[in-house]
Amino acid sequence: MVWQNWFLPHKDTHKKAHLISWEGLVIYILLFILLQVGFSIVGYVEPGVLGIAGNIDQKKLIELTNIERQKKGLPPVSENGALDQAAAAKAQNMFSENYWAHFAPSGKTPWDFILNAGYKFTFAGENLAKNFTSSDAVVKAWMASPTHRDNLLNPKYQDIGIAVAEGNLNGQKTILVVQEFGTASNIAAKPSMEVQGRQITVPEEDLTNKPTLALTVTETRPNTNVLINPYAVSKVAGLSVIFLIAILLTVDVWVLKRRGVFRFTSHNIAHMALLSLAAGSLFMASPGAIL
Amino acid sequence: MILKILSIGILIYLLWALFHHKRNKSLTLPIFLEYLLTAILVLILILGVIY
Repeated sequence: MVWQNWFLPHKDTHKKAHLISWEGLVIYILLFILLQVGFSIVGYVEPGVLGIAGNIDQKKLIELTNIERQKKGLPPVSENGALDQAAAAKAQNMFSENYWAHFAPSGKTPWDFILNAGYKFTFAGENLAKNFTSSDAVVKAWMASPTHRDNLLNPKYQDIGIAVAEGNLNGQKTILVVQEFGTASNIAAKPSMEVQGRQITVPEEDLTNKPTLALTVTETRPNTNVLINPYAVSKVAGLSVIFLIAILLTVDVWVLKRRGVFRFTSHNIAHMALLSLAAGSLFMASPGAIL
Repeated sequence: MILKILSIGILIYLLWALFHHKRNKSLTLPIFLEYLLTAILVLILILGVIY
């Protein structure tokens, strides 16, 4: 039977089943490339269909931030309306200019949004996150990164502003979290901002010619509508393929042993080891990113 | 971090395969392709979730 050759070693030649031979691997690779290309096309043609539905709460993020600070014996930061506005403006600007960075392609700096919101500061800092599904996961990711943790646990900060916004980034529905920290300026000091572990002194001209950003800030709350989650689809499809290959490799070893045949081929044990590592990585992988 | 661990794993896997089959004088194109394509597949699967 020809179909058996796709799953079992060949009866006469003992050649590997097609689905675990190099020809089968080419098929899997092409299918996965096709899947990713398909996602890109859908994201381009129907922006907003693909994405992640999350449940991130702005108040919860502030609460979790203060819990982390209190654990280290630091004073809590208080929510500041101007910093909230700056964070919302930053999130909206990332969607409108379609970027994921601290500095906008148009040249806008993180402090432009803070100064524009009317918050004069001595020290400030910014943390970004995208595509997380819960407030806990966002703070956990920030705490796991040394530069973001330093920002979160900086004893100089007194105020905090957070925005959680949903919009389209690169054709995919994305949940952005912008966290702004600040210490209001009450002494004559040169203001500086902590961005990705770098202390940047705000240039004099940015203070004298305060930028005016024409942005209408509308707070958007992430909804929990069910969307096509491309990451979940890729994860399930990937784990299914790994599982299928692992079963076929095991069957291959068993069948050859029963037939009492030795075959010069690649080693199934080595493939299994790499596939186990891949399965573990896939299981733990998350689309959530911080900056 | 995950990508770093997986990349090291893939590198060890490919180097081991090359040395082992070269030593056994069993390194043929289909065998090498099986290792290489498995490594590429694993990389594509993880990149599809991370990015």
